[in-house]
Amino acid sequence: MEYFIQQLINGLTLGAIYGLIAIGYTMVYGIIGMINFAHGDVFMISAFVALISFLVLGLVGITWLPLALLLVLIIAMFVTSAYGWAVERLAYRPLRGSFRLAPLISAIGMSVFLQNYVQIAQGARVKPLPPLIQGGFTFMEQKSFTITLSYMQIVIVVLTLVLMTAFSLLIARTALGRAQRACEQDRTMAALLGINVDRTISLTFVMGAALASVAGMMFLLYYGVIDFFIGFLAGIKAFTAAVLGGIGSLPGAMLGGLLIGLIETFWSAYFTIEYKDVAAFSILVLVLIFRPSGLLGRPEVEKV
Amino acid sequence: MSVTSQPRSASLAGADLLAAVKEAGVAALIALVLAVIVIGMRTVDQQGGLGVEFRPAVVAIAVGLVFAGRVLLVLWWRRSKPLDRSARDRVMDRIGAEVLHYSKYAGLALFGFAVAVPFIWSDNRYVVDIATLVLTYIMLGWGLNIVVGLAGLLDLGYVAFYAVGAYSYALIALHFDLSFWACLPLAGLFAASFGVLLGFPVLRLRGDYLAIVTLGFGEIIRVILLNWYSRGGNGLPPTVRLGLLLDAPDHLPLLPDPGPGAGHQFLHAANPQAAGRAGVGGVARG
Repeated sequence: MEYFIQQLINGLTLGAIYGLIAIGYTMVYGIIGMINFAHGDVFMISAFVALISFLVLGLVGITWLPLALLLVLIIAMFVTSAYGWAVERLAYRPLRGSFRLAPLISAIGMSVFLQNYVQIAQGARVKPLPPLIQGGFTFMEQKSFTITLSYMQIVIVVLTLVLMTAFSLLIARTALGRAQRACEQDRTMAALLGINVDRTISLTFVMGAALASVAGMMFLLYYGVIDFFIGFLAGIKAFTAAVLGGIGSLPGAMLGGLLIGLIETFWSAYFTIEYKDVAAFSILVLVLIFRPSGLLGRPEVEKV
Repeated sequence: MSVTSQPRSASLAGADLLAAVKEAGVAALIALVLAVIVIGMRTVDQQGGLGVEFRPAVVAIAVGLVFAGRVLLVLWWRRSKPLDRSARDRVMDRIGAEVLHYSKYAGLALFGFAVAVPFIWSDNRYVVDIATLVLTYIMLGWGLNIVVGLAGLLDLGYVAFYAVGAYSYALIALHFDLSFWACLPLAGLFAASFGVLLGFPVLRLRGDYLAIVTLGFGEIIRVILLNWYSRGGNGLPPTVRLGLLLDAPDHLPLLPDPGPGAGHQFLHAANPQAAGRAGVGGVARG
């Protein structure tokens, strides 16, 4: 039982990170119907930006942890948003209105480009960061097993909840959110009604990248090791999460992220750690076969 | 007429330049934001953790390149009116038709060249390896063209079949000691039956859902192969001797010598890491 609760905590933490990345996928898919394969690599870049910012802040002498965390978060969000914007501007906007596969192939190219870019700029070796937030609560202490809830896990889950709430409000209440939902439903009609479609799409990418940057920073703090290839697996896991929850649906992305995190963690805990990805993807395949629109998605009307 | 139009075009050029510099300034600013941390501060290993090496010169070069490139691009766009989509399509169609026309002759010549490569460079392992890789990718491209191009199914896990084929070949040859000619169709058969197996459940899906499921399937195959056969990604031991040309010297492309590091031509596909990445970067996702 204690073991189960511990795995539940770990799984929820991992799922929160996946969920944050998944939102970027699901929003972009909702608004332009394209799988943004470079999103995982934007996440990877954000982890690097956060790492470098921590190191530089350490050199400058800002070591008071809350201030350092806040500064790093702001820097990472800002720079990563710039990357999200630039990727859309360079690789996707010129291809808008082209045939359906064109932006997808462009996205794959962008993903490979970003990986190699970081590999060349920062080196291929793994980058460790000593743990900054240590300690945690322990409870249900017994001889055999103790449940640990680390401060880091609390930070991750709380930050995710706050961001999700803010984000849902932004989509539901603000003019920008309304514009996004309008573009999602019918881009031509939205343009006719005076919505700047290009700007809305750009802002969607920026918002997705900002959420991915939070995920990247938390990934860095939680695992303490990053390299230029983390974006690939995290990206397809998050995309899997988005599809699992029903692509285009924001609560679905979060739910899918949590499910993927939990499946992975429980599989690792009770079966084999080597096959955790197999488990996650197998469940995805099963869900899609029996419910192709995902758990919370609307059934798709095939556009010909 | 020409006399009066000259000053106007000169002033237009001036306005063009100003607009171009303005736009390039914005682009350079964005490039600065993008580059200043990721390029400008390089993490280096040092005593007791990571250190940071500052590289302002590299950032300056990157930003300068973006600025210059954007100025030239904007000037170019202003000089020659950009074509609209249909005009561009027409131009591309004409180029395509011309390429197709000449490729009839070029194809023959290139085929002759391909046949000649292993004989011309028979003592140069590097060239032969690259040529083999090129042909492998051509074959992969054909297969992908059937799935994506002709059938219109966006299959991102295509590379899994590449891995299945490579592993079937290597395992059959390793354990049953069959010859190359017996293994080759068997490997194809195995990969094809995997395709059928995947096709049954997956083809109920359409479009992007198909894409993600095939991507997941590709990952599943990669992880399974990595864990069952490869002992951490080293690939299978290269003990398979092809025996295609009995008396050929060992450096002929289809006859890897059994020494260490050999067997690379086909067994690099039996290493799921390599196969996965090659496919991810080069073929299946592209």
